[in-house]
Amino acid sequence: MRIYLISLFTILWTSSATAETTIDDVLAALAEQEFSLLEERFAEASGDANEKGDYRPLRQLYFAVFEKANSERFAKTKAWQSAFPQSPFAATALAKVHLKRAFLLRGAMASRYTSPEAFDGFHSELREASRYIEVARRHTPEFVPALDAAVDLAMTGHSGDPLVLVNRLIDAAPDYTSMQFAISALRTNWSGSLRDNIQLCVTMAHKVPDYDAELCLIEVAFANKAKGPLMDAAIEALANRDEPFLDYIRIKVYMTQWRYEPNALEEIQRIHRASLAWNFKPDEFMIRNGILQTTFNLPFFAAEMEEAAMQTLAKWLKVDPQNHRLANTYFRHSVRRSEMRYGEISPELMQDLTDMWPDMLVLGRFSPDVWEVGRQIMAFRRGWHDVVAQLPFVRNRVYFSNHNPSVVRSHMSDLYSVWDVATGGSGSSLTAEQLAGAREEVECPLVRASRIYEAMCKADPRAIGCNIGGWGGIFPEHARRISKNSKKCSAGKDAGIEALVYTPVDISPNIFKEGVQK
Amino acid sequence: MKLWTLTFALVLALPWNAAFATDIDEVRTLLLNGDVDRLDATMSELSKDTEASRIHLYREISDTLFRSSHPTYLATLADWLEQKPSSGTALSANAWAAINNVYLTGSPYGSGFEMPNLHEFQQRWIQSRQRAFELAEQALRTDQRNISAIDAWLFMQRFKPAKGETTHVATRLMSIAPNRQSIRNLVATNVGRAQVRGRAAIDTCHSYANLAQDYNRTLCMIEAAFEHILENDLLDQAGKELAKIDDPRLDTVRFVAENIQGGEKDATALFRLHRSTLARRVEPGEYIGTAQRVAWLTDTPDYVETAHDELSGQLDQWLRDDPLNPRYLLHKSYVLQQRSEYAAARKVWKQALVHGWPDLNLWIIGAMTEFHDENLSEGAKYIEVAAAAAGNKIELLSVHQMFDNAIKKSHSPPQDGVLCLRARIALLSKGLCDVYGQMAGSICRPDHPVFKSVTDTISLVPKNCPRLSETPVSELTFSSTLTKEVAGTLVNIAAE
Repeated sequence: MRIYLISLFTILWTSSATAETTIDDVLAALAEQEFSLLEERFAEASGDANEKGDYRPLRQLYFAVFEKANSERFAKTKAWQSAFPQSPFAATALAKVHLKRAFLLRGAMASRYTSPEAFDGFHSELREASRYIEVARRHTPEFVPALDAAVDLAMTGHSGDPLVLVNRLIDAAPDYTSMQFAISALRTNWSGSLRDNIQLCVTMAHKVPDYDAELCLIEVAFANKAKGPLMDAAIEALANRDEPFLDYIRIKVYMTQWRYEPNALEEIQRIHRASLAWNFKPDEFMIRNGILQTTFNLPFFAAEMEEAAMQTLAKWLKVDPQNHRLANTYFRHSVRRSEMRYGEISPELMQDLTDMWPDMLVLGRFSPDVWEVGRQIMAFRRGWHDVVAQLPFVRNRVYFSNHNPSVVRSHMSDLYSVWDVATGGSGSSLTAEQLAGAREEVECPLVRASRIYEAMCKADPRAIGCNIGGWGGIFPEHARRISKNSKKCSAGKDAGIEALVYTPVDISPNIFKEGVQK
Repeated sequence: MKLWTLTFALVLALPWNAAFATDIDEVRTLLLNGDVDRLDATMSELSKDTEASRIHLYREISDTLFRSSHPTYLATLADWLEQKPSSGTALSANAWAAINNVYLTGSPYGSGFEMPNLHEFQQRWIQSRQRAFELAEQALRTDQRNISAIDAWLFMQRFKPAKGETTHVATRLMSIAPNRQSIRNLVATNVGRAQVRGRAAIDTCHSYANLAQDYNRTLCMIEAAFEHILENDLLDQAGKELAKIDDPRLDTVRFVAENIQGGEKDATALFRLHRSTLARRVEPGEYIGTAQRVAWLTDTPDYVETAHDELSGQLDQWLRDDPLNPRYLLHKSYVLQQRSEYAAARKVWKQALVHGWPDLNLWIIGAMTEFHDENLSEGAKYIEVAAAAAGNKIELLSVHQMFDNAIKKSHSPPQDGVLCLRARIALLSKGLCDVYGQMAGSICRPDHPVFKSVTDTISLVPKNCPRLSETPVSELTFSSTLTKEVAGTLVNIAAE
């Protein structure tokens, strides 16, 4: 169950030529640590924004420079803040960096599948963010970017009533971006309630030019994945609106409820293509692209879009290098594309991907997905059958997922494939000796994984990953039988479940630099 | 025919013929004559009769006469419903006609009840499915004990958007018609819409099978396992049970079992089992597909030819009540073409177009006839339609291959338009291989003959069609409306 942050790119991204130059100037000043120049630039941008009542360039500046997982910029931002400890501009910048770090450390899974370590990291970064937001707002309480950050922070329950802050933000900057911050912060799976949302739409939306309560309710319904009458009403209302900024919702409806409309294919392609430029959310984009290729039968279009998306991702990673979620998406799709086209991954490609690994760990050390990337790199280097080499990564993956049944299941499935080949169930190119070795190594981990899976699913039978039937339900059953009949792994078979759960392993970020080669 | 088969057929046939006041021929005549009043009276009487053989007859009539593409039958059925809108039997008969329309508008390649994969055909399919839902619902509401309405309703419940509660209808069905057919229908519905298919089969068989006199749980699980290809352990178990039972009713599933699990390699026995699947209406493509496997299993390549002949004989019988079934007609036209009866093949082909125009195979057959008559440009037109109907699927490579062969064999030199069409199909084929790569299977490997013919064509593109080499692949795709347009110039295609 992934939680998607509503991205605020919609407006933040629409860049004008002047904004581009300001961003470049600011980046240069930051790189050279010319903090007085930075102060000057931000004072100008802020003055401009207040004067024109247009906060887009200022927000864009913060977004492009500071809402990034970039250790180098982080260090320099800290230095700027130390040099100008009273500056609302520097404090806001630092708060934005800490917010970004907080969400990356936490990861995107539901709380019950998020480890205590990830939560500790999340909260400690949020405390830092909170501190700097306070600094920023001490002298200029209505500084809009600081209010944006305060709203984001309020979403997590760290400070104040989100609705109060949201109202202040809209009063200070009555524009569409503020609405987006508001809707994001009031999502019901964070600290908002349905009532807060309705209040927002009814009492605040009309203050924003070219916006109204109906538009707000449409966006709220989708942001909260509403079901039933609210969603039906939202879709009905959407049919009568033509605001381009609703395209991100329109494409979802064209792919589901409206998919048989005569213009559906055209609209989907138009919006999907355009979203690359103004609203690119890599995971969502790639999933949709896969659906367009297969279900919507648009292979050429999808191939073109995928290529463009991979290029954008690569470009983004350059300025956002410790963003392990971007890196993970890039890793997964690079591997998939290569396997699909050539049936294998070239050592060169794997080396390029492996080079991202130390950066991924910086903020991703509590992320199950990052440990899965590590496991795949190891499997590539040592061979998929070398279970022992992969196990430390798996232990971390499972532990940091809070023993999420679908993660345990995926681990068990990997082990079962090894078992199946090693016991002659499927063909293999390995030598008899390798097969015997794999057979020897895989049994006890498989028994252990099966026991954990059983226990987790017994505790929560309706969890995702537990209730899979049909062909997909067969291998856990086989694993259970292997576990029951195992003579060798009596420890794993009979031990209490407390003794079997995984504990994390310390793995050096440089592990792949030390000469383990395929 | 083996003696016991004959005996079995006689034993089944005798009591019916003796007892029946109504038979299928009488209803057929009423449909042909459009005699709505007598039709309504006859069917109403039949629908109230709970005698086992009469229930069987009602089912047979629904399945062969109402679930039909016969224009006259359909006109009478529509007329009947218009004149007697609250007649339960008229409603259920029309529900079956609507169900057949779901089949006719469905994907030309699967079982017939799957959504077409091309976007432009999907809405039409959804509408016909909706119509069938509504008629079945209405029929059941009007007469809750009408067996044909219950069957139609259960049939439609296999489709995802319905998924209403079926237990109460199942219970009623078992109180009216506690027999094998009823249970098989229930299994098909419950398995078809279940997540855990094996569990659904077990539940259904255990709840109902012992209520039927001619059935039991074991038989039920055997049929369920092989008709719906359940999970492996259930197939294993069913295979073991099946080996212990000697019952000709199980021949069809025995064939499936042999086909999946192997074992029986006695050619004659396997041929007989395979032939037995013709006892019910089957999809020609599926029958020939299994014939190919039988031929391979028994190492008798000639068997495929035999199967074609036997199927053709059977098809004429099925076409009597289902004369516009595009798949039967496609097969028939193919066989005629193989026998070099081109004029007859073309006639049948045109009939097949009425409903079958979205089917890519049909256009290939049409093109083949034209190529045989040396009409290269007319054939090319059909090839273009076939390419459009292939809709960016990997099958496009076969279209190219076939076209390429025809051009090479042709005695007259091809026109530029023909060469450019071949080039366009080749470029699209190559594009598909670039996208799908390994997923497309061996056909996209450089050394595969089909792919080699594609690259050969492409090497000629700069010479033959220089303009094409500068166009991005995504702009080379064929118009999605082409198929329908061309079909419309050849026949009156079925109204939507």
